[in-house]
Amino acid sequence: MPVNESETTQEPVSSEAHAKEHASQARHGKLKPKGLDIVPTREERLGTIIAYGGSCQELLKGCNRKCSKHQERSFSQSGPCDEMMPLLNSAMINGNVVIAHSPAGCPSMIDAVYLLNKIGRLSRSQPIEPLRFISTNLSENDVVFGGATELGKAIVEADKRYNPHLITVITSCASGIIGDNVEAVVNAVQPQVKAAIVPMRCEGFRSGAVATGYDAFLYALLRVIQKPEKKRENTILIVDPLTIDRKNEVEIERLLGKVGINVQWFPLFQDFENIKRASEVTGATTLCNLMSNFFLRALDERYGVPFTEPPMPVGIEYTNWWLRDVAKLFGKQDEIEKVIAEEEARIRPKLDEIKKQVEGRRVYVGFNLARSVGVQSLLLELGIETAVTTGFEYSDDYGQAPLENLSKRSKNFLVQIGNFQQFEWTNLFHKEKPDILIGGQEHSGWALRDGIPVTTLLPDTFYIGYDGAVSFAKDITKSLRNPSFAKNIAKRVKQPYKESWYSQDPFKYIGDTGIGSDGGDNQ
Amino acid sequence: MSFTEEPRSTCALGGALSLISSIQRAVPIVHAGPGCGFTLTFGQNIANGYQYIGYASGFAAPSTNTLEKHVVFGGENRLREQIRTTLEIMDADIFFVVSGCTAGLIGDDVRSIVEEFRRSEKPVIFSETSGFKGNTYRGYDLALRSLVDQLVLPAEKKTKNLVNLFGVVPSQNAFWQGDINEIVRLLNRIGVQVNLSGNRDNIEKIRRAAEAELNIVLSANTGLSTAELFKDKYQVQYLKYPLPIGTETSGFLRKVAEALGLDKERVEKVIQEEEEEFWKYLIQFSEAYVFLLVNKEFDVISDSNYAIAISKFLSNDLGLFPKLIAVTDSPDESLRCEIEGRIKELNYNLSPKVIFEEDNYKIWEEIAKDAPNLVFGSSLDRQSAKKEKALLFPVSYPLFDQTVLSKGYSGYRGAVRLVEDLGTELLTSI
Repeated sequence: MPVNESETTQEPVSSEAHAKEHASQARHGKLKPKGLDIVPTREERLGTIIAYGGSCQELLKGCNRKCSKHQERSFSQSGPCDEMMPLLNSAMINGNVVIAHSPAGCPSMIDAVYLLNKIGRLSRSQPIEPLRFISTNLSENDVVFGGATELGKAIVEADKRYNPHLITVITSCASGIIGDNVEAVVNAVQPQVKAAIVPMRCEGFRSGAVATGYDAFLYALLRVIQKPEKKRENTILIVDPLTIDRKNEVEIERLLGKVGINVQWFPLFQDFENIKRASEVTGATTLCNLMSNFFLRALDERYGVPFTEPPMPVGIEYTNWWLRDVAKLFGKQDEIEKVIAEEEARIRPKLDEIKKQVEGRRVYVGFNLARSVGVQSLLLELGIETAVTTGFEYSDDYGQAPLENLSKRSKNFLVQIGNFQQFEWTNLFHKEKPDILIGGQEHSGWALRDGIPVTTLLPDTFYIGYDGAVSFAKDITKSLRNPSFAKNIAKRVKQPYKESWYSQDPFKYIGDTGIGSDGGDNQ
Repeated sequence: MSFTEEPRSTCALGGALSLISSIQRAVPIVHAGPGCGFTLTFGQNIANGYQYIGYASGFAAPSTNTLEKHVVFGGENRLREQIRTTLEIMDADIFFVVSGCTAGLIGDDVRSIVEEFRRSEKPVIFSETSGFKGNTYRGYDLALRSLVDQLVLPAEKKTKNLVNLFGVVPSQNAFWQGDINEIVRLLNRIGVQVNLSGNRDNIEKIRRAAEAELNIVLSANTGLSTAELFKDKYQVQYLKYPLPIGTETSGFLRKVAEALGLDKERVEKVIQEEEEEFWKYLIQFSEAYVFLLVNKEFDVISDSNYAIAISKFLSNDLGLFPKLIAVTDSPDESLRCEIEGRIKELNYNLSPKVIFEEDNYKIWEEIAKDAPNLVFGSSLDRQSAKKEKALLFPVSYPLFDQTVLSKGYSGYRGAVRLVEDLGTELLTSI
């Protein structure tokens, strides 16, 4: 149920009523994918924009869906693509073999997430198994004659080598343009292969919004999710992204445990059995509502699993919000209020103590929007002002409610929406001169080289829930204490921009200049 | 090509971006899908000793970010617009357009779009490097050849004892800076000046590269087409000598001296001094050798460069036993015989098995058969080595379980470093 319509019935919603309610919600767009397993792009389905720069107030006022001005830039830099999320995430499902139907360059990114795999597994006391992936290594010959045969061979061989439960097949720009019929290959080899083969259609050029890749990844998993034989009462499925590790999960389990709700995490670092049985739960939610948007609706539509999608539970207010929404799914509103009161009484004084050290500072928040808004809420509780916040894409669907909440609680702030676009970041660093940047891997290195100390929020950072808030607030105080490294290196860094760039409007390249594509198709 | 488990390199576009990241004030303009520039740099930085390299790499790399409509209607206008805006905002000496799979498959005419910018203040050059054209080594070659073809000026005269080096691919050899620096140090010692080294070259050096008397290709597989182009177009001869480690370096210096007609006595004096220092340290290592290395057998999984260099160094200098050498850079069929020959230039008739294989599973099937004590491979091999009860010493791509900055294993000093690191790995693994 949408978070901003929380004043509904106090009873747990029956799944049928729930499905109906969602069917009527035209604003979520059509769920039915175009082809068998091709999810609609976020742009098509939610009117997601990937290019915006301006104040939060303005964003809320109007710049909205189907606004082609906010779909492109006449200058752009490289960022994420649709193929990334299926590739990286499916590699983190236990016992899966990933087959990248692509040249060898696409899956090279998996080499870069070995560290995350290690962190993820160690924190869950799982053995550190290597990530298994095979590239079909598309060559010049293959792009002329087709790569389907090689793909079939790779699948059969993957099954033989590792006897996995699951094989995910990831498509690429090259396989998409040459028109290899991946579905047909999968159907043809499935009888010879014990593993369930799940193709994920995610050509890198499909969408400018990286979350379309999340949709492709999660929706494809529905192929192996079975009809529930029995229901697990008081059990919630929580979609958790790669960037939120076990200690954060433990905090959520602790809180929901107090009101008798059990948690089934989904889908990373999970055994195949847990994926198959995902429909047995009696409710579903998410730690990243940007990631799970399509999947939760599809799961509900198919198996009647009621869900809620509150913003990320960071800081007291958003954790309260998240817990209240989740408890309502199970009719435990009264019980959760007791937990919230207890926790707040315990945590608030600790945060207030930290607040004395950091109050009045200005920061740059650098994440995808679902996390940015959560972190901003915690910052407000610490008396820290947000100068700029970022998102890789924006849709009212998950952005509006938290931004409205934040804008009521704080001064106006700048919002940069872009599938990265580092030239805008560096311009904003120079103009806004934040005291620190709070960000993920994407932003942090660039901030350091521009002389801005950082508080990193990486997969092993503890920041979710009440105890997470205290832990993360302490991280922030440390970053403010010793900025030496950033100051030292920035003096010696020459960024690749003309000096004149820093005095210009950071968002001047946003918008369609009319020559962005041939054939005049600029929507 | 056949499918490959855990490929040991990226794609042609990755190789091109790797070359560009080694050049001072060079900015790539990626004409490809939205993720290529980021994925490849992310992979090649983190999975390559966590090195942030390049002037405008990763998220800073300008990119047309080809979307579906460009695939349907063509991406040429978008490329034109992107080059124009890049010239407007970015400060660079070289703008290097490199194209990926989408551009190659939809048939965008990159050449004629780039041609329109011929008169721009700073040079705009291009190379067609669609990922499907081959691996990183192939892409490095394609882009280097384009760079030389489009930027190097004809030289009126040659400069005595001036050389260019190429063949060390930054993203494939995590130790590229250290390795190149040691070679440059030694060449300087014997009186040779290095113009292009492959480590942070600039536009001036590139323009005057044809003044070199000799090109040295530090690889048996990579950089050869560029050396040929230099020979045909600019009359610069070349010497092919794969990156040396240990006393092999003496052979390298003698070959260079011969090719340039240097004073033999001076060169021999330098070799003697360097070898003396090298052996002084190895003598100090002899007690550790007793504990750690006597009679050890080793396998290598690496590109042809390190495959040759490590095999020779460990066999000829350290007295170890080579068993299986897996060469992973897919050299052209015509080069394989020569590469195998170089690997087998070993004392005492030592003769390892040499395979050309990139598929990780097949490589480890072979390794499991001969149960070596040591495996010189990549971070990918750590778990497998553990299973086979061998020690993994990481030297080849991908290298994501160590950080690498200045160190290298080439030459004499690099060899000493390698022995130090090997000893440490062996001691900490006990």
